[in-house]
Amino acid sequence: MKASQRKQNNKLVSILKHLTPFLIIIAFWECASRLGWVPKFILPSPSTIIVTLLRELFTGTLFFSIMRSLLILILSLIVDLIVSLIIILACIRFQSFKHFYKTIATMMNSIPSMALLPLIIMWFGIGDSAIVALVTHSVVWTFTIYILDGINSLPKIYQEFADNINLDLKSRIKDIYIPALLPNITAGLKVVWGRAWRSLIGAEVAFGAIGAAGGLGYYININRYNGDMPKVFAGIIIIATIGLIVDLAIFNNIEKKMKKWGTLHE
Amino acid sequence: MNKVVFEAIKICKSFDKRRILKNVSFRLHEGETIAIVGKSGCGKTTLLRILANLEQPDSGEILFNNQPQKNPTSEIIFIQQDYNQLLPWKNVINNVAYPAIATKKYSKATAIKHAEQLLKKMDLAEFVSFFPRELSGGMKQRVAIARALIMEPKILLLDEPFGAVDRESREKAYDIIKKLCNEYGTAVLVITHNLQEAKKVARRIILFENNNVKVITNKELTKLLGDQT
Repeated sequence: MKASQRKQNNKLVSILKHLTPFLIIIAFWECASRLGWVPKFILPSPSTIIVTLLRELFTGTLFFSIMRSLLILILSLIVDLIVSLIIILACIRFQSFKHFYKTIATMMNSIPSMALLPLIIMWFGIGDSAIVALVTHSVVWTFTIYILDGINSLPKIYQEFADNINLDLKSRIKDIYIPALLPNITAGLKVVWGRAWRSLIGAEVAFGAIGAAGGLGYYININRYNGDMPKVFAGIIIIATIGLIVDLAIFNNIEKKMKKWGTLHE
Repeated sequence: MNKVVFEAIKICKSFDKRRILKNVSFRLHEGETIAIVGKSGCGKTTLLRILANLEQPDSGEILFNNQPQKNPTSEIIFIQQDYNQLLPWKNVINNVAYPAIATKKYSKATAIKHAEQLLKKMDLAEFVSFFPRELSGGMKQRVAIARALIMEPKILLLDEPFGAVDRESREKAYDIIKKLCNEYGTAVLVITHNLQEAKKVARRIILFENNNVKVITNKELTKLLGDQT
């Protein structure tokens, strides 16, 4: 057997090993639902969920709910990154602000978004701005702490190299600081992406539809209201799938690159 | 004797009231190599860091081309002892070319061409696309030296660059550096633990001994070594 063929077979075995537990659970679930061991309105069968999911994606409102949630999420993350950047620059420039900010960030970081919901409704009303505020709360404190910790542990040897060749600030940031901080940036983004996604869905569940359409949280909640459990499951599967896609498509690739450089260990 | 490019005048430095450097003075001529020899912790690295302006002395002055030098300059390049000084996210060729591109000394194409030539002279031609983590310690240090030489510095400060490398490879590396520095007219200050090595690479030696620093010639060191044995 050729080495490449053996490698391909090993890969297939590895995929099967990962998939088998899922397949067993799904098969058991299908049987339990079809044989009436559990009521269908509580736990619809996987086949019903898949059919509903596909139908809803192409003909129903699910697609628009996904788009709406993603749009709000991207908007929130842009706002959060700008806010984080301003805070980080202020912390670099003013050491006393950094000490003050770290205390505040540690305190705020421990408050769940949902605990702030009454305040946010009072300040921002029930609308997109309230959702952005909730997501911002779950992102900014954590992300800035990750980056500030990264800056503190930035190897001195890179900074001295930059000093030695009189590197300008733009080149330092672009070519030295950002690549050196990439493990912290990625780890921070990975954590805050999950937190942002959960806060967004939570807020959509809480606020319902804003304007003409609602997001994924609203989609799940309204279908729970209508007792349409296959649609509730379809919404939940989409939420988990988007999480998985972002992890595999974005973070996995960045991590692979860092492993190649040796700045991230296996 | 070539002209003086660099002069250290009565450099003093203390850490936590412990005096490390006391009135260190010497002159370095164009293209000359001086070895710095002394026990661990006697202040050799501190001296190089002060000369590279990465640290300030408590008192004393540094003259570069007869002008007081108070800030780091790309004409005086410091190669640290640490094997991990290369940028891990750039491959070998880009590590070497980077300073010349970033400081706009050369265009990207010219810098890459120069980097290729330097790496060839450093016996690293086949490793241009490797990332630093894929190289041995000695190879990393040679890349760091190529990265310094692309800036055509007037002075190269080497802090025991091949400390953990075997003798044969070390001698070979020093031969290459000597040849290249002659070609570029670069003066070298190199720290070494090994007196025999110091004798071989330099005509003059800065000797750190019993809290005293003295500049001696190669011949004086040979005599000293003879007396000791």
